[in-house]
Amino acid sequence: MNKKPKQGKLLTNGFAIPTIGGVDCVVEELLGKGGQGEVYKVNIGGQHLALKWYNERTRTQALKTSLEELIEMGSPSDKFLWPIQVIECQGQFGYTMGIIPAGYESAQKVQSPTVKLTYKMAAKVCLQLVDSFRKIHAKGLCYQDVNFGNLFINFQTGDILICDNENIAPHGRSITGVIGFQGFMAPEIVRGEHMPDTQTDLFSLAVLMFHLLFIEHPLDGARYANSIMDPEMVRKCYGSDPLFVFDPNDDSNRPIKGTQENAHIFWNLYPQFVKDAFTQVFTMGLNDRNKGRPLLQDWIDVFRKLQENIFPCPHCGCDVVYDTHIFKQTQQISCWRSSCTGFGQKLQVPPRLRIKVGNRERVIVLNTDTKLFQYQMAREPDFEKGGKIVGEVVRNPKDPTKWGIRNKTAETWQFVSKSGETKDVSPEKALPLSASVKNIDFKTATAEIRI
Amino acid sequence: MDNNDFVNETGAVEVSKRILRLYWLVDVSASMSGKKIGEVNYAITEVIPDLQDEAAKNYTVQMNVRAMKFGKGAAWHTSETKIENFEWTYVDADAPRTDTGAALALMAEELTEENLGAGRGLPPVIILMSDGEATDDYESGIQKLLAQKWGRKAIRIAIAIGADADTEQLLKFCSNPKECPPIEATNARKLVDSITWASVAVSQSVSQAKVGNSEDNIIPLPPMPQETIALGAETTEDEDDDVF
Repeated sequence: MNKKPKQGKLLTNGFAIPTIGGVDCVVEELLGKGGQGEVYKVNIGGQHLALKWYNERTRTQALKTSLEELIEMGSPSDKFLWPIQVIECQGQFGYTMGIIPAGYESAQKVQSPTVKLTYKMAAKVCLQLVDSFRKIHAKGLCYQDVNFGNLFINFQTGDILICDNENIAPHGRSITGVIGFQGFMAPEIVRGEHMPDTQTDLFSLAVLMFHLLFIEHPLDGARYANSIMDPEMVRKCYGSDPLFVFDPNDDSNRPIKGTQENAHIFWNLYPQFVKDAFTQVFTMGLNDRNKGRPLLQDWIDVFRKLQENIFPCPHCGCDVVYDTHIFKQTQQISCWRSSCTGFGQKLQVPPRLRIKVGNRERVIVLNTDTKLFQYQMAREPDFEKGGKIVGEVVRNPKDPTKWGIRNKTAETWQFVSKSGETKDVSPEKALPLSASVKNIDFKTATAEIRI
Repeated sequence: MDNNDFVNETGAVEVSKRILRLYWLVDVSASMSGKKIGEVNYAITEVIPDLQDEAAKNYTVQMNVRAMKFGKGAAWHTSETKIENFEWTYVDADAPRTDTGAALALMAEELTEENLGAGRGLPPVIILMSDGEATDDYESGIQKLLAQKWGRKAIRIAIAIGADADTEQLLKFCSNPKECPPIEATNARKLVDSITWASVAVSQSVSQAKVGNSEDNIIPLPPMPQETIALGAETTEDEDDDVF
């Protein structure tokens, strides 16, 4: 199994680069190469890191300054493989970052025949991704180079890592000259009208998420079935004349039947509210860069809603989404698996909680393991704080056939019982899950139970 | 439900791939014999693992390669093969002629729409390697190649090996004669580097659908590698400088 260490063109294996810290950075082997340079595995005082070393064309003073600023700023969260230190030698330079840990694989693996994201995984991955972009945008920066190659996913846990962060730069400026990756760039960049900024990030992020959920590209469909993808066609497809493959008013660019079948399969699996968000960005959002693209908060709402509406099929146990749009149309939710006895049948849907915060309403499906979160109960813009558990579905220890929602807050909840009496639910007590429970008052929100 | 069950139940299929065809057209005239053809063989052998690595990372592009040799006439050296299955068998150079025209005509026959279909492919990459002047009807070969849609759209790169190559003739083959005229590989190192660059970096640009800033229909080619010495390398005599 001892593979010969790979040798790069820019640094020699075994070469020790002195660092400012006084400890040598010893080059061990080449990990990869790209247009900007090469990435090596290095050893600095016993710690293994990755060292990205730039080639002559890429290494500019501006890039070095930008890297130093990013390092000074520090990583926005543990989802980023952030630059750690600039290393210099003989007028050349690079930067160190962590090595991608075992278990993480390129996000592109969703295009392999054996790996796809389940609803829960898709929601988890996209929420982390969107929140990571929010952290960058909040600092007045944008990512600029969104593409499959920069995202790594642990397909067992759904955790993500974002790498190649050196292209992150202030809104509207490009330090490295990178303006994006074809197919992920916003149409206005392809048309040469704009530099990367937060609005173009919103577009690129939507393309990446579309790929994660629906596998194929959102703009490359039947219109290009008989085209050689030369620059003229590429510009038309992604820039001058883009058309969403699922455009509700124009079906001329649908994913090619058979060839791009995955897009049809997965589009049909997702609830309308997910499809609506993608439809918005790839129809209105193609041309109206200011108002047409869902904001990061909108995407957070979409994927939280997806998480809140998953329940196990009572027949086969697989995850099914409670899609109110389908329910209103057909009066039923069915299992999507053709081999399940619940396929095409009306499934018994678990109880739902309809929560109102101000005039905003959300419906949460209550499974036996459902948790309620801070963001559902109050206006909470902070993603982390919003993730605080404020309630959980529990079984009544005295009567295991009965269920309730345990109050995990410090406040006392109230509700009106069948007899019209107002009852208290103190902290750590449980609100009974019963159709007779009315006018639930969570203090920051009101709610009702649907059974 | 774990991932495998999920994938099976959804009925997910293999993702659709666009095909990127890479062609190596190798001059096997007698003047290529010895070091030159040895270097070509070496370079192609070396570049295959790099191309395979690239292919393994790319789920949306299928790279197929095919090699042709030309000397007295032209003939396919291999069939069109997926890069992951491709193995290089060395070619010898002993032909009494340099029938580049025949090579281009054979290339044109390959690139017909009947053969490759109407589309859903990427522009092919054709690398023509020669050390001399064509001994047959070069012009008509070029005409035949450019008469094909796939031929016109192809990225056509010429590598002029050694000092005797007819760069003026090769220039007519190039798809981007201004920015990428025939690459003059005057030593072994340059020859290996240029074959590697034309095979790996150029096909990367094609598969990533790179477009230039201008409105023309030319795929921007990645910069040629500069001759650099790796930091920390032993600074002994450069052994790649031999004239050949």
